[in-house]
Amino acid sequence: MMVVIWGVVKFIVLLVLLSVYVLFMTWFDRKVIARMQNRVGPKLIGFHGLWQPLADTIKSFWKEDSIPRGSYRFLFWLAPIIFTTCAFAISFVVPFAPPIKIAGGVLHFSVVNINVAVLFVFAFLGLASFGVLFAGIASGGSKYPYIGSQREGAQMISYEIILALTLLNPILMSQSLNFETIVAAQTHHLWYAFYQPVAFVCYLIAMFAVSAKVPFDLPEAESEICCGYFVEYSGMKMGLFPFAQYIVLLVMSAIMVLMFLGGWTGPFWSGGFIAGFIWYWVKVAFFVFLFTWAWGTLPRYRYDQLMDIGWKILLPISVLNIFWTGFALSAHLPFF
Amino acid sequence: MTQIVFFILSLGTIIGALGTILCKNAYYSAMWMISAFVSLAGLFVMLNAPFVAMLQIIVYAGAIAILILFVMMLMDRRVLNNKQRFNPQYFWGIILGVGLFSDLAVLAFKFRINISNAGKSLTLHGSNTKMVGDVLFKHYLFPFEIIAIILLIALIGAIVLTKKDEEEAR
Repeated sequence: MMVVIWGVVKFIVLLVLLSVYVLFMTWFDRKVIARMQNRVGPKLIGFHGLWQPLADTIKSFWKEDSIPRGSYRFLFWLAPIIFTTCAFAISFVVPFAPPIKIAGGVLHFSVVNINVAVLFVFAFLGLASFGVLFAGIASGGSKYPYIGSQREGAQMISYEIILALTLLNPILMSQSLNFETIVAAQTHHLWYAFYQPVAFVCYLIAMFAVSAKVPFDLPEAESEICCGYFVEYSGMKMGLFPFAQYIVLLVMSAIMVLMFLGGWTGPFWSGGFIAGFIWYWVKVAFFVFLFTWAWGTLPRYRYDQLMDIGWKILLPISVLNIFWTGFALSAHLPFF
Repeated sequence: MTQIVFFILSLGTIIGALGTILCKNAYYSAMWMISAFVSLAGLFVMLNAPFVAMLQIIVYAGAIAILILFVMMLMDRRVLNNKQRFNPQYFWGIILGVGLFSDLAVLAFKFRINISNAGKSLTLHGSNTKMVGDVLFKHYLFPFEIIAIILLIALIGAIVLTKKDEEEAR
């Protein structure tokens, strides 16, 4: 019973924290991109426009909610719910701070600490893409949502394979599917990014494609299909799509840090909860910033280029890399 | 507690399966199919097989259902909505389904399945991911490889059957 109560408490805390994070992430995105383009960005409401996202949220709650006539109403309602729920579900298994040993056990900072955490992430990442697919289908044959969600489907299938293949290398090296065990395995060695530079770079590329951000934001390419899958949505229903996307982005960065960059370990001043906490969030914040940085600077790839990168370059490279890792591990090469 | 969860999940599976074949709209059918797959994964979790459950979601609900939806999206939706739901040979399906159901019902009656055991896990505890790998790659390596080759043959066969020759296409 204690486990259930703890789970519910952690769940509520995570829900609130992630909502606040998304709120201020929109402010951060706007501010950073404005600076990159020599603008000021939001600045009127609060300190440097810090309360702007609150105003936006209140506005979008009171907007008129229009549903197109030819749409499948139930699917139209369901699509943003699926997307947001699955995005939250992914974040349940990700530890957001190093575990603390307390009297009578270990306090984990993930909602559930399961042995198949990496697989859980893939499972719900796949389910989350149904939110996007249904959004396109339910819009009632409207062209742009349809094209956008088709792109999301194809992009998700091709890049989730690459994500899985690249994460297989750290899994093989640590022989575990649990994030905390994988981080613990990296304290004995160097970080896995030094053993697996190829997998690290492949994951970095696939990460952008899976969370559908620039340069791979083809499902919602503004200049081609003017926002893609959520064109027909309005008000808060529309707001839920970027909301979930920001959570996926954070979780992808966190997994990157946990699997390749040693989680809460640092090159110096490590050990202890506070040091671990600071190291972990500095690394995660860097990758979250990287998404915004790419958004402000990079152009968008064409769709066929995206597919070529996925299937013709990244897939063979990551398969070969797995062969190399397996060989190195079973032959006990030095450093492995 | 576990009984309630078990009954919710099994109801979800059955309703999902029924919805898949009874829904008029093909897209709603796909949605019900996904919900059936996900509840089935929940049943696997209750049996202490989280690895199988996650693979169930990744492979069936993730990859295969996306491919099915993808194919439906490439078709014209007016064509899709005017399709007949059942083809003329539906009675074979009915005979098979009724036969299987009565078979299971007779078995359940004969062995006096105890409802109070519902949801209780009677399998091994703990992580079985490692065990699955051990069994597949140590004890059953040969059948595993043969299955892989058969799947490869099916893949190549699908490509050969659907690919038109360049000469023929002209």
